[in-house]
Amino acid sequence: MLLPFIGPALLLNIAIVLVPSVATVVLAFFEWSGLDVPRFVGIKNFVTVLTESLFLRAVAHNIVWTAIFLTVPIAMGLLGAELLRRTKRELFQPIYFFPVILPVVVIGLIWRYIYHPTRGLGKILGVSLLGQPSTALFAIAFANIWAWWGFLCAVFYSATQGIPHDLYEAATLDGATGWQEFRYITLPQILPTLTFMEVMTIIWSFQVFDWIWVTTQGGPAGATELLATLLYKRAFYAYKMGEASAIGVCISLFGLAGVGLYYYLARRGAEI
Amino acid sequence: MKRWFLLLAMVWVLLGWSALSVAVSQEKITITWWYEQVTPENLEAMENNIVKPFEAMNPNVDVEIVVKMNLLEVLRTAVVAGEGPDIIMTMGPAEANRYAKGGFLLPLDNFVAEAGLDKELPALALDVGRVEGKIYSLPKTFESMGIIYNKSLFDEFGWKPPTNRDEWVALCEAAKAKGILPVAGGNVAWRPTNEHYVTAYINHYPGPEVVYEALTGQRSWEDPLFVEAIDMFKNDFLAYWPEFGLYSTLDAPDFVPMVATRKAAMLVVGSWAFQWLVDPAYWPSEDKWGWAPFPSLREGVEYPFVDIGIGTTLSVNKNSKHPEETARFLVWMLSNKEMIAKMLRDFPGEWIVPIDIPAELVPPEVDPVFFEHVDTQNDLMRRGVYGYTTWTFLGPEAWQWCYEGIEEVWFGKISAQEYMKKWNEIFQKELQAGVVPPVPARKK
Amino acid sequence: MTRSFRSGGLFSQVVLLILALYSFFPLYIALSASLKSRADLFANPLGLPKELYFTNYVQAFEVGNLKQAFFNSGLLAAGAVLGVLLTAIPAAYALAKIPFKGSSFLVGYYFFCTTIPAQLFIIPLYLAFSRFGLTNSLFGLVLVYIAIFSPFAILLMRSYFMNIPNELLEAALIDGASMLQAFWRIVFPVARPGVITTVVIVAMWSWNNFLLPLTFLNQERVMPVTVRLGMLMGKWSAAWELIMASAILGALPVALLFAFLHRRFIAGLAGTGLKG
Repeated sequence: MLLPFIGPALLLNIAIVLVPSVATVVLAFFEWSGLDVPRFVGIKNFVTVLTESLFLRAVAHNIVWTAIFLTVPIAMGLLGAELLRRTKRELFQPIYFFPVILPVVVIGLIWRYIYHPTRGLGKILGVSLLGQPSTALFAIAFANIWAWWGFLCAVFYSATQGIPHDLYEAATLDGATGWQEFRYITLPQILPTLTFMEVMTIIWSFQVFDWIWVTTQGGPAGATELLATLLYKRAFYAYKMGEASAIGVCISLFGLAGVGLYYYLARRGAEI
Repeated sequence: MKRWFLLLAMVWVLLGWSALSVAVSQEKITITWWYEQVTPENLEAMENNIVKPFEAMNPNVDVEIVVKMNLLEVLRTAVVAGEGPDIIMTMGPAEANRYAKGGFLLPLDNFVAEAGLDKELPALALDVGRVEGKIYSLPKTFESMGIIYNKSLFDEFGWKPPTNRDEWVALCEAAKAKGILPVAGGNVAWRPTNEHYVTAYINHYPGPEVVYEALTGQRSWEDPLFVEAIDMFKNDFLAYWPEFGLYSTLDAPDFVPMVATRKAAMLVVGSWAFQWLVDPAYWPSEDKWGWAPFPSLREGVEYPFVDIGIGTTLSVNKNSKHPEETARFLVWMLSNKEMIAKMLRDFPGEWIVPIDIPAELVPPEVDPVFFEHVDTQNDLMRRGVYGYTTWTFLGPEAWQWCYEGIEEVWFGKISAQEYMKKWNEIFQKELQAGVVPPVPARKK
Repeated sequence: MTRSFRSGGLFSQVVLLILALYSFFPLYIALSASLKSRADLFANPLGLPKELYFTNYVQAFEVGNLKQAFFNSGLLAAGAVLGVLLTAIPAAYALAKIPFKGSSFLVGYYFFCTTIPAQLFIIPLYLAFSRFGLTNSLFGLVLVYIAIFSPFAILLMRSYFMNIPNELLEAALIDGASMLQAFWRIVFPVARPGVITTVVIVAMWSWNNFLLPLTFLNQERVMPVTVRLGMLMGKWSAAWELIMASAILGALPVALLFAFLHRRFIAGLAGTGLKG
């Protein structure tokens, strides 16, 4: 009886996603230039990669990125969703969403102009935001937040549309403040969606590639090197597909750690 | 609602099916060529100068140029699966030789001999594409490092392109004194830009003979000559190039106009820069530009010489359905002087083939500075007076260290000695593993 | 101030306006860049255009063969959306509301699918597709889209379905409705905003995807807008003003779709049809 529900999606998924993914994981145990014959090397790739300072530095950068994205854009999305719900000014929603639609390469260029040290923000602040190792990652993250928070806002707003109105009416009668309404009615009602987006944020934060590639490609002086850019360089510049796959497996594991957290909280009874 | 769904689904399946069949049906012989990123103007130039004449000469052949961003990965993915285009275009012999070793390319010796190309091209051009004695790739773009400067600015102050270390320093200091940035450059769009400068110093301080010895394993890269070269470069970079915070955010649309508008004096750049100069958006002034070889930075190092690199190579996919026609097309492209001359005009900097072009074939619109550069480059190449660019003659990891490690030298995180030490370690390892591209023997 | 917030008063609206300006300012830069000549753009990237170059749009449309490209992108997006709707909605519902053994595992599996980095997984995928002759076809690409977007779509919609209290469902079942009827009559209308949002997201991702069509499609006539946009970039220089124009043209369909669906199906439905 269950089969027609989950069957079709699963079938397509297994054929197109599972098999290549398993192949990728298996490749991590081989040495392969991408153009020759793969050679089995056991865990050598993992040992090489996990002991590299470049790798550890990239992990640190990814963690910083994750921390930023677990907080700032989500808070903005919630704020936007809640205020839209209350003011009923729905016209704003497509405006917030538009930046999400633009291609990353174009947004990268726009923000490069904005940050420009002789013509843009950089000149006003006297600091080259993209050019300095200490600020580059944050500058890119800020640009990404601009193009991302609208997505979360839309997702959260749709979730609020299912909340029964009388809950809010009752709250008003009880004299609840705005914050209390949000904290005790809106938030619990959309908790599954909120938690889901938090988990996806962790998963996606470890896969970030485009944003770095169109702005700094890992520079300046390696300050914006993330796991995915390291993977790409390892696979296509250094001809080391096996090591790249090992990095890929690590990226996946970090994402799964986020999923694990989700299950842990679910088991603890948080109705998510 | 359900009926709508079904109708939509049916329509979509039909469309999909037709798209599938449309994409698959072919009749004439089609030679597919996956080209790296190229602007629409340049693509049009190639269509007009190359594709149309060839198709006119060979009515049963269609040449299809498909522009692919990220050509590097896309090509690899397709070729490994046994598919891919007929013409394989790579960024240099290092990459092409990998394909050759993997058995994915067709040997071209017969076709080259058939067209007499082995007599036209210098031995260097054919040797870089040899794997186990056979030619697998032909270079389409020979490029070299040099100086592009604002000639009008130089003329005004009586400056001349520097030929040695003293003149170089004097020029840079003079520019600085006038508030003009001596060298403009930036790496935001292409981080490996760093290696362009490393190449210049690594060749022009020790001298090309020394570099040759290092490339063939006869001399260590830790040799004091190299370390001194890097030290010299580090100091020059910090003094004469844009400050790092600025440098790492500048792109060609920024730094080329800087030279044109006299905010900077010169670029230390390769042949590809000429495609910028002819675009008024990049050179928005009436000033003239000039080209000169990079100065020789040490007593006893000859002047002039240029550091040769190969920007792109062309090969034939072994799995091609029409390998012979494709090979003939390739060879035709590289021996057709009329066409190459036209490309000098329409796509300067990216179609530099080292064959002699008679003066009457050269279109009048070709930038004379560019032509002089190509002439000089070809001449120096033929006489064996040239250096070696890092992107053509280093293995992949050494190449990466070259442009990434130098930033740490600039920041003072490591010394020039440590930088060259690591360079040497990586190089020797790659030499052992056989992934360093072959260096053609030097003329004596 | 709390009163202002709660009733959606002036302060809230001002905050929303500030957010709108924040969203809009960089867009103004893109718009203005798309209307400049190349020289103007290089010399003055952040200011207003010296002259309005509407021809950039015309040129971008022609050079990029955007008419064909829009059709291709549309086909891909429509196919992906259809496929995802048909396969993901039932799966999401089952995982949200029907308790069965292995449900947890399946959810975990779908999460796992979203953790795999794309660049690596493309190579074995291409190899497999090559064997079946599915490369260089829009149909094959749509299958890939459905397969890779479904996990997220299933999980997102599942979360929307989970937002709906079980009591509602139980009440309907007690009243004699079947699972399917319960789904159609009770759950779906309330979760509809969420489903529509998921539709827009899948449409957007299909429309905006670059790496997959770049790898799988080799003929110009089947290339979508994103790949055509990439073709405006050279190795050393790029037609930036045309790229900006193309990007804005390319973003319009999804933006319009979102605006339309949002107005029609999502906005202003707060509390309709539900009594606690």
